Amino acid sequence: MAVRAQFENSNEIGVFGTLTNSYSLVAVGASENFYSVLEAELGDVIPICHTTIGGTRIIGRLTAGNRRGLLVPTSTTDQELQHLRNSLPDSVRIQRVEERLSALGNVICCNDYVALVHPDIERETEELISDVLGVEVFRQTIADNVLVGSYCALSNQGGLVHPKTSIQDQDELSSLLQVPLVAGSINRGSAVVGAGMIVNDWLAVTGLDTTAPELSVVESIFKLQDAQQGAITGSMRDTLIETYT
Amino acid sequence: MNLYLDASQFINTKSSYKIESANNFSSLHAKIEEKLTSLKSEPKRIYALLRSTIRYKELLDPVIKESKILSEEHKLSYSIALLLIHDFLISKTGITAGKGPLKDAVIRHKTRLKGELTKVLVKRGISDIFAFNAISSTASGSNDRQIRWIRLNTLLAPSLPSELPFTSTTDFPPQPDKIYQDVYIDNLYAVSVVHTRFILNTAAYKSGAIILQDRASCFPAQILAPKPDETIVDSCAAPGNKTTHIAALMGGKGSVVAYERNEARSKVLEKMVRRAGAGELVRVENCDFTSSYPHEIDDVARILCDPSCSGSGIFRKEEFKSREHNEAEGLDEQEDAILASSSIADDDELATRLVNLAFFQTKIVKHALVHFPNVKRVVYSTCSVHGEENEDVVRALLMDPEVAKLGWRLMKREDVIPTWHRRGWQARFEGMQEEGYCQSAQELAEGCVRAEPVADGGIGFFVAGFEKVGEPLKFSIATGKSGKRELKEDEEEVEEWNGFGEEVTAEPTVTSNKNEIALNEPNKKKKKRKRETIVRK
Repeated sequence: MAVRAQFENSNEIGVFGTLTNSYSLVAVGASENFYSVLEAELGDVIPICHTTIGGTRIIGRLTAGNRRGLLVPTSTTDQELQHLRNSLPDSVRIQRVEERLSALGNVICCNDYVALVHPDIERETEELISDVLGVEVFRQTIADNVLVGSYCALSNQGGLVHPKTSIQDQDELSSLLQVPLVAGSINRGSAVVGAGMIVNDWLAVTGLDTTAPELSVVESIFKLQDAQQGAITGSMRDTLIETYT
Repeated sequence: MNLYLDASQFINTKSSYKIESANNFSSLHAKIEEKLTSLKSEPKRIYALLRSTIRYKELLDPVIKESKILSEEHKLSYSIALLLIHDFLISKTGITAGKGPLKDAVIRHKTRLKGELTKVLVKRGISDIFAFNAISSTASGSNDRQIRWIRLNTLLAPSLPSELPFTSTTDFPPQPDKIYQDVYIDNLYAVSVVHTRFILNTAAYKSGAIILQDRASCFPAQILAPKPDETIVDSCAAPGNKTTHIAALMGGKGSVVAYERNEARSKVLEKMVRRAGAGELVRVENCDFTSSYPHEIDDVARILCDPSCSGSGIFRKEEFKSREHNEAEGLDEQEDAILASSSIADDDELATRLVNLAFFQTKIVKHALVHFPNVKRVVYSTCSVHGEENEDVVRALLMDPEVAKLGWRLMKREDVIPTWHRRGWQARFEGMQEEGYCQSAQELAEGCVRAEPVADGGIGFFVAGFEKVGEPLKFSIATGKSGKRELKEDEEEVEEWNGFGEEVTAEPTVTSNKNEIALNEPNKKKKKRKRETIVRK
């Protein structure tokens, strides 16, 4: 399912929130409208944690995480860390990372298996990413941009990259990530796809400006639209046939 | 850690990113043997590690470069890093060393190294290491031995021992549990390589009733065609597979004089001969063939010359195993090559080495051709695929005035396993008629037998037979052209041979002019130097 939402008149949903398969973080102080969109989709399934990071609300750009863990920058206060520990499931490892490039969300782009990182990230950070998030780490650029987190939105199903990524780069990235990729924009032509949306394996939230074609690209690459239909021919098939015979 | 430190000294740091060329494992082997005493860990493991490292080097080099590990970790040298990273990324067991600064230095970069390896694989369009394995092995023509050849030793067993539970087949290569009887060589059988271990444990093998011998290395004795009651000389006999094959072909009647210069190898030869039940027939002489004249010299009818060669036709899967096996049992022809190969790493040096070997080979065969008055047939064989050691040697011998004077010709195809499809390289014989030799290039090439490694179901091989026809050749080579050449300066010779070389360039390996000169011109100074090198080997 892909939905549109707005955070305090901003379309950059990825700046103010993080979405993974086991938890979601959202910045505090938004209108109830935004929260209710998320809660409607996720409410009973995964915890939604309202927090700030280092007192700021741009938590989507400062943190990076997946199903297994969450990385937060050094600016995170002890209180915020404690709050996160209390709100997120126990299985999620939370780790503070001493990294010069402190906007972790901009320099790391990951799903549950692989992470693309800024080429200049420190070696210790690289090891932490691999340890805490349990992923393979690749230093990469996307369409010659070092901020891989900003220009790529990634789930376990697929990925959306900067609209000017060459076919060759897409192929290379796609074989590294082992998921299909597509180059595209979000929020009516914005190239910062990572910051313009949040995505996990069954939900994508994009800015309110996102056009219908953009949304349909998102739905198809992240395999969100026909989850039901797919299930009938796929995972539910055996059960159904067993029932009818 | 000792393993890695020991192994690292075999990686050439002189030209930092250069290592033994991948197909030159014999020299790697020789290098390890050389330093055997100074090694702290098992040579077997060092060899295995180095082989595997060489195999994956093309993947590991970019990983080392991209990860910049050498500039981050000053303790690591390129060679140590290569070995450790190989084990870390590719070996199933990982780095087999306790905690230490060097291991830690690599482990610190584990994520980066893994990532870079994946990137290298992705760049090459390979999904994983196994896929790389498959690709690299098909690219090199599949280095695997498919077939194990078994020669029935008719001296000890009249027919195939019943303990071999194989059903016969006419399919080649034979499937597992099937046995194939060869059409070229009598009493030679082939089974799938999977049965090797089983065969090594049979009583028939242990008693010498069956001998593991490649088909190609059965050709020389077959072509020599010894008759009962003749006197045969095997000039470079160890480990004795061909010697015992000769004895078997003679039906146990007659005598074979087997020369082996190296003392240790002559012991192996003796043991091998005894085990094959040829002890009465074969007399082992531990001396250099080229400086010896047996007392029955007048009786010698046929001579087999299988001198040391580069061994380029031998493929070396599980080389260490067979090597150990050789030491214990004196089997397999690989030993020749291993001993012959000195510690040569570079391809550039290969040419020099081939010149040396060709010189040595020519010398041995010439001795056989010239110094035995009543010899009828001489067979020359190598387990090399290089033209320099094969056709070029034959050519040099045929063109040699001393040899030509005695009326030696190359045997014709009808006497040299006529049904075998792969013959000599014709281009190497071009132009001989113009110089006055009586056989055509095609005839000469047809008279040689070649075997390609793997493709022809075994090792690479070359065999040619010389026959004395009685009448000396009536061409001017003895006095005219070559006499003139002897008087000329070196440079002029090169020029003269350059013109000739044009025809040869069609060959896969371009003939080195110097090489030919070395074969043809017994330049005194050169000769002396070369002999020294050979003796040292």
